[in-house]
Amino acid sequence: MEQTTVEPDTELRQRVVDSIGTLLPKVLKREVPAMPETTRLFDELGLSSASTLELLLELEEDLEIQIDVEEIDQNDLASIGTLADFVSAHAITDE
Amino acid sequence: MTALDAVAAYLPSVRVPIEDLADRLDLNERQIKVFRRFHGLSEVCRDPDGTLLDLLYGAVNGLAELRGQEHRVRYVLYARGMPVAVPYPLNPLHELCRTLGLGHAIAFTVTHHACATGLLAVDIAGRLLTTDGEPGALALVLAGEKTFTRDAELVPETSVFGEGASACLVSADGQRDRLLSYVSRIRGDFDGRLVEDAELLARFQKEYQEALAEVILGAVDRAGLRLEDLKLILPHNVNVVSWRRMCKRIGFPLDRVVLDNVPVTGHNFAADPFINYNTAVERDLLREGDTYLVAAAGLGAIFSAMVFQH
Repeated sequence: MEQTTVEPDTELRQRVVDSIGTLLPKVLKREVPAMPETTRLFDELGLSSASTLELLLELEEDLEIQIDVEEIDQNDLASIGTLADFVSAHAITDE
Repeated sequence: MTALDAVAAYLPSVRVPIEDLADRLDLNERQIKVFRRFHGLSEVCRDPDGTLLDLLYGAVNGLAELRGQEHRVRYVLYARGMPVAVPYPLNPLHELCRTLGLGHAIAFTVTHHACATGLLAVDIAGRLLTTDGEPGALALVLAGEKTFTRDAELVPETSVFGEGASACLVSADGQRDRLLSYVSRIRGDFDGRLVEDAELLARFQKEYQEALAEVILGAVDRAGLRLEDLKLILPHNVNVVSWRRMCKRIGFPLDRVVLDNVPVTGHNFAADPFINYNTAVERDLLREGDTYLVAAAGLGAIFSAMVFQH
């Protein structure tokens, strides 16, 4: 069994976007209407650094993936879209 | 020129996994997992039966260079992150001085730079000694605190406190480790309790990196160096993820930031940089002439950095 980082994957990316939409109310502990990908996580949604990290853990469980977070950058946490880009490019799968 | 003549560190032997603190600190399983996975926090050093004096003695006892030199010590400075340690009229610092044969020294506590106060105390010690101009005079700078309240155990969403301590001998004219620069910025607009003010916490988290980067780069510049000249950064131990981001931001290799103690003991108030200095020396990471930067941030907020030459 070898661990590899997969290339950005459009199918996975869409699942990440969908999952973020499902998980946001849980992480933010309030109702969240459907949001476009350009929605900014901190300024518009009110996520903190820590709640964004909680969201990453929730995504791992929901999508049954492991995310390589070593390289994560503040820019990756800018919006729903940039987070989905990062997660889909840094999902570690067992092959 | 202010110099660190000798540095000692002390970590209590009891290691408490952060899971064991969850109930008291009201942390859920998810928050603990975030601390472990992203923040690199794992355990903290505690001495549940020990007093503040036990903690400070632990550090001073490791300072072999003090033995026989007590008469040269003019000042004893205790750098605290939390302003209050014990109820009046108890005074552990004066008790420590009497016990160690330092009753002749002027002893006082330095606060108000929160967890960056360790750097402030070194600077003050050097300035006092320089002003006195007495050859061979020394100052003893202590740091380390008990985790005796919830505010002294947890920085929300950021770090968990441990009970490590440090003791430094400072001189005005020593050859090692010479202080090349000190930059500190007070940001009073971050005053408040993060635990009860979500807006303040969010703003602090958002601006923290930029503010700390500014003093780091400022201290390097004031020392007449470039960032790449630094052999090491000795950080405060709040967590790993913030240093990973900082390294990316300023373009410094993460493996040259001494983060060894983050999983071992968490954040030790004002003592972190000196505990990490000891680790760097023990690991033989510093050679004569190497320059390194010490960085710290305090809630309230203060951002500070010093550059030394080993």
